[in-house]
Amino acid sequence: MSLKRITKELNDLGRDPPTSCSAGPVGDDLYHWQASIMGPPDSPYAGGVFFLSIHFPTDYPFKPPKISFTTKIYHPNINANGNICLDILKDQWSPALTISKVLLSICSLLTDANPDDPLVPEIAHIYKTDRAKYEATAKEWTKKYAV
Amino acid sequence: MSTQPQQKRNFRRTQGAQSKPKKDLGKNGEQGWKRTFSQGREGGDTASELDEEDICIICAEKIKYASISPCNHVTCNRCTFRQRALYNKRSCLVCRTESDLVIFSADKKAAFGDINSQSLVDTNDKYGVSFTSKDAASATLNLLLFTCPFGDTGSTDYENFKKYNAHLKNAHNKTICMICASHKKAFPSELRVYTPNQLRVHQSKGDSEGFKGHPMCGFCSGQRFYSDDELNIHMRDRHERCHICDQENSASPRYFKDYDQLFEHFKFEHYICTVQSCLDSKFVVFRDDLDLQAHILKEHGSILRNGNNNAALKGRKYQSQLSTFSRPSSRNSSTSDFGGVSSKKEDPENSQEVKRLRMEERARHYLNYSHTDFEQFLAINESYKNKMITAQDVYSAYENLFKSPQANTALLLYDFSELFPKNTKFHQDLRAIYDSEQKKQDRFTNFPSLSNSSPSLLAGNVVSGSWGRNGGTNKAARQFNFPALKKPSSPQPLLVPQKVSYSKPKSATPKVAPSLTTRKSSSTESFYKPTYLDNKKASVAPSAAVDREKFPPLPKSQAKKFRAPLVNQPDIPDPSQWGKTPPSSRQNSETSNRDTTDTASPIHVKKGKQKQLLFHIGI
Repeated sequence: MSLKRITKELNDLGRDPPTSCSAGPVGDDLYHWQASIMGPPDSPYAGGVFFLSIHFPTDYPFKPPKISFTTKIYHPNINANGNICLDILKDQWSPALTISKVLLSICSLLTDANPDDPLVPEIAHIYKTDRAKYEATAKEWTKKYAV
Repeated sequence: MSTQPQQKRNFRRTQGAQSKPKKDLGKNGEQGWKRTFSQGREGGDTASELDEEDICIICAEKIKYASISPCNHVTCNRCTFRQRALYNKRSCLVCRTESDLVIFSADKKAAFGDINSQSLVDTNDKYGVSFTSKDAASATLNLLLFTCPFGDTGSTDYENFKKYNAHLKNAHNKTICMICASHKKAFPSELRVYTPNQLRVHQSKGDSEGFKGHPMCGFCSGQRFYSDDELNIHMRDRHERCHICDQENSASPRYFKDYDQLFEHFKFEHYICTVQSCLDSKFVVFRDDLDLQAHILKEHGSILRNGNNNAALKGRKYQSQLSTFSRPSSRNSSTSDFGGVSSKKEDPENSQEVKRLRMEERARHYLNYSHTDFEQFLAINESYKNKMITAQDVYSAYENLFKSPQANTALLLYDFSELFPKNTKFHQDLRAIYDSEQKKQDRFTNFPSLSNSSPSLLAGNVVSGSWGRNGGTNKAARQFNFPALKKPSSPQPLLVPQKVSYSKPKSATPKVAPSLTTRKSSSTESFYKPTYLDNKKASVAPSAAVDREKFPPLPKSQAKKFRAPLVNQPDIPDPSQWGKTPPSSRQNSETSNRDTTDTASPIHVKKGKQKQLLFHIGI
């Protein structure tokens, strides 16, 4: 069941690639993909290329894919292991969502962080109290790890 | 005699239907996949778009019976029935709208509202599904039946996985995976039937793509779980995870069978508090010596002072001193991770391969995923590698190739240079161009309006500062970047916020009564703008005058400090005792008043107000 759906998504991605992100299988295993996101130009991540790893559960699409950043990124909703705190990857997952849509959501999470539901409280605190410092650090990390 | 071949055929049929995609893959290997991709791409626009209507967006299978919801989202009957019968959810698979009733029909195009109730031949209340035909009903409801795939018992329903498995075992010496049965949310017919050996392979290594077997708990011998998620829940509930190791690297958690083993680990690898009460309450352990000592001082200060338990603590101290020396500084770097600038050892994620990927990904993005342009890009790089062109040529070729306004060719050069070892000419030449470009850009962004005030540059300036707009918080940064802009023209927008921020407290000062509040506001102000003040005093006369009104508090507080030495002189009564002396001991306070008459003479009639009034005079 899941294999056909994953293949379809891969075909769709090839036919109509979304702007500023891409994704595809790492090797022969169609259940393990790598994706990349270009840092949105209106964010401190601009200019960076961020890589993510995607693991499809065998119950996909009834269970959400497991997506994590493999490039270090300074963001209130992404922790040091690259785990992403995003509702549609957890309880708000819908089987009709696709990798392409999820990647776009992650893109917009980069532009608009959600400090009220943080995964890294320290960064969320800085984000809320000293936005300039947050942006400077995020830029620095982008330059250091994603350029 | 005749049953055996039939059995075999049936067996193959059931197995074949389930594992067909995998078999194809196995036979053709990569070629098979490449073929399907290219097919999808070439025939994409005509053939598959027509198909799109017929294909379930959830499972990508052809829809035979459509499920139509009140929100008019169409999926196949199997997916919706899985959601309603196995996941026990009544939400739409597409939009999550809850609906009590959905209709399963062979007509994919029908709208929910158009189907009249007469045409519904059957309704299943348990799952909230109505059917427009008997066929749709039986095709759907039969998914739940536990019928033997070998066909020897006809349509006998074994009711549940346990009985079903028992039959398979007794009659066929086969089995299903009971872990999958209870977790996979699969219809009985979707579960594969295994021989005992196949089952072992399935559970330990996995037998289909994307499935690596059911993970096993390392402590509970032989206990396997459906997936890592279930295993993690088990580990969390039944075993102990070291929270100190987590702080250092939460990517690879360390588990221990029970608290005893965890305690051993604490003893040898972390700093555990050995005071009995802490041993009893468990988990009182720290990641470094300092934390432990802070804990001891805070919680067990009395023990330390009494010296009862000192021996143990001293021993501990000695040991931990040694260990702090032997501890690598990696701990510090991990704590300062969020400070940002810890120089990391070569990150595995920044390997050569990733760098190459990054460059290609960037190039593809800039080229809008055009294949021909990307080939050209690769060709440029190739000829540079072969020393056919110089770094400067590469740069100009890039400039010609990447015409998109968002393209940052300098970054591409940087990425490209990173692909060569640092000491080679390849790397250095490219880097030299990148650096000079970078300098140009820096100059451009840092001193935009000073160099040239043409409108285009001003526009660039606004763009570069665009995300400064979304909050007033980075005023400080703006100030830092544009320190010396002394109003070249009056409507300079950047200076306006500065003015506002400083004039606010100013306007507040005269209104507020001259007491603690004014001092507070002045102190917060002085907190962040000493240099600014200097400028103001030097250049802008009128506001400096206002400032002066406000800033005398500082010298005044110095005057107060001057009084402090007096306190130590034994013969002069302590002025600070005024507040402390009870109203009854008037003589004391009166003498003290006499001493300070030169500064605070006029108003010491009402003693209750003395303090305030003294302040006032000071100001």
